Amino acid sequence: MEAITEPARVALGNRGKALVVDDDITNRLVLKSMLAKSGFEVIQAEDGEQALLKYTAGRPDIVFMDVMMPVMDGFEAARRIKSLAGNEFIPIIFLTALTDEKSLARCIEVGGDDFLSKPFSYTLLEAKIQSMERIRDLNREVAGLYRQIQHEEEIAERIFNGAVTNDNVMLEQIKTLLRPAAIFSGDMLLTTYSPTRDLHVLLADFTGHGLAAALGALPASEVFRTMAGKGFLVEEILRGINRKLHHLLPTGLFMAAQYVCINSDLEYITVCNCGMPDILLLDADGRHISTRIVSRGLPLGIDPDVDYGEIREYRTINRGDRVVLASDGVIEATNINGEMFGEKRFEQALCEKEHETLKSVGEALDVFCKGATPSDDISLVEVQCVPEILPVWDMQVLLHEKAEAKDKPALDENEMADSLEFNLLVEGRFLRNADPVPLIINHLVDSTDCELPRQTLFVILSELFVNALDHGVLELDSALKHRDEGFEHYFKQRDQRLAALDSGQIRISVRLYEMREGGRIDIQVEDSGAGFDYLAWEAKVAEESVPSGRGIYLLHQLCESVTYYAPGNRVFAVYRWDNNG
Amino acid sequence: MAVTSEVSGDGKTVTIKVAGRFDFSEQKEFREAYRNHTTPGQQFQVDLSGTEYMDSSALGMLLLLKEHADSCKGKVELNKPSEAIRKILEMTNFNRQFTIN
Repeated sequence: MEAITEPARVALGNRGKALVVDDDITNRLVLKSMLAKSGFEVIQAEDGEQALLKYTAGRPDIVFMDVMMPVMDGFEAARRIKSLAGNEFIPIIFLTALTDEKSLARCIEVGGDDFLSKPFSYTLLEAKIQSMERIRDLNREVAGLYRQIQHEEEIAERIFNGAVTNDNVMLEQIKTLLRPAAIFSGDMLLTTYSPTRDLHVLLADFTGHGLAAALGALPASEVFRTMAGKGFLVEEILRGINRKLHHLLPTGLFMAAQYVCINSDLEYITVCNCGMPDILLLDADGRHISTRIVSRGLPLGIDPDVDYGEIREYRTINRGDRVVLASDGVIEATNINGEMFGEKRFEQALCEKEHETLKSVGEALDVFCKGATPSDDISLVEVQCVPEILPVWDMQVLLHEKAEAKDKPALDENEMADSLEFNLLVEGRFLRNADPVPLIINHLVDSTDCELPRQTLFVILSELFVNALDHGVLELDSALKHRDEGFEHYFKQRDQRLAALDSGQIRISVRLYEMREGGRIDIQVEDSGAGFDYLAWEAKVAEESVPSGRGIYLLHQLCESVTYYAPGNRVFAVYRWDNNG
Repeated sequence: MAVTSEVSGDGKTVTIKVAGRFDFSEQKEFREAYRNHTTPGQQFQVDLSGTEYMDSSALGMLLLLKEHADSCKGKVELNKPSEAIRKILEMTNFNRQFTIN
């Protein structure tokens, strides 16, 4: 660090230490007196071998070297001193009686920095020393700056690891191949769960590397985790990150991203590709690419008004399918001949051996890039769509809370008085982008001091709202989902109907009762649709063969009561919980 | 030098040519090529015919050029990218931000 602040050292008597190597005592003494006059402290050696010992013990700032000496000559000694000095610049000036060009050239070849033929004048020597000192000071300054940068990158990396990646859900089923080009890479992998147990995965690639690239990592990960954790839709989360980055990052810095959300029934994925190579969907054994999702979006942080609802896609998946995310560093990895690894080699390696997808790519990259320095970060991520990637629904805990609450006597009059009610009406075109559940939950949390079972409430409200919208207002048939590529069709139709929607309404009423050790929430959702055959549904519930769908099953399991009213477009659900359960 | 620039006789068009690798190391030269041209309606033609490779910093530099051009009500066009470069521009959807010829 000292080199950054210290001015060039020229003050007489303080020029550091000089090592004089010469087997002739007269030469040594003459040079010593010259150097001492110029302000050097002088140490001496009689031959090359002694020079190495003195160098190691005395750590001189500059070396004056004779060439022809017994035991070890000056060429060999210079070579060894340079190697001992490593990255530090220790100038070596050869003082030699040799005058032939070949010998003089050799002085520089072995690592010497300059030479002077004997006999030499004091003025010439002083000029050479000053020139060397200038170079040495510059070297020290550069080394100091380099250390400072390294130090800052290390701090940034620690912050990055602490705040960004340590919060990821780490799972054996999420395989990664990450090779950063700089300590602090421009690539970032984020994973988290939504309240309904959907797994959100985001692979981001920021412009450039190092600190500049890392600037956006903190805000992006913050928005990702907060919004996904509150249950916002993929398009809303991307919109949130995009706005934040656009606001914070200067023009020219942006974030390309691959986003995948695996729904907790392992039936479909929501994907969005913004400026990255194709997202690949592989069969369970990893031998065949069944789908690719090409980039349809601009990288995030460039244009604040992107509608991600228009570019995110849905894909039906089968259990065991593999979703593969890759940064452009994989495809653009370059070998010593300047050739790129390329899409073809990448995909061939990926599907080469059963179940060995990423491993094969890693090996192929090693062979291909042998000897070349990586110029971009390489990030490769594979998520296998198996139940193990999802958190366990703690039904025991959820149902336990409910059972405990059931045993309590009915609410008394006083308790019923402590309540809060609000209504939300979403109508017409506002239904197109409506995502009211996270907002309702936030509002509830903000309105009360008592501890709310957020996740359970989220599941109940989402289920009620989505049913009202999809089947009530949009009149979608859930049987669509069960065909081949059913989810694509289902969501495509849903998007189309939503885009054309300009009438219809959904009214949500929530009433919260706060009690000493828990609470109760009454939720009523009413839609403008024609209603559904709720009698048939109730009959199925009664015989315990609840229709398919995690949502409806859970709804029924979690709520104290779920009641439909004719003609089937109004539902009333009661949920009770006990914080001491 | 990888970045060269040329101003048309009437001063209305600046042509910037990037040869070889277009990445962070060209940042300063690229900026120098356009920053002093602020005539209203200034045209910027980026000649990519000699560009072999382009990374995300280069895309960032193009955005900065666009911002500069917008500020003087000018226009940016990208010309003659190779197949590989065109693919990068399409993948990042820069083809919607810029006119590509």
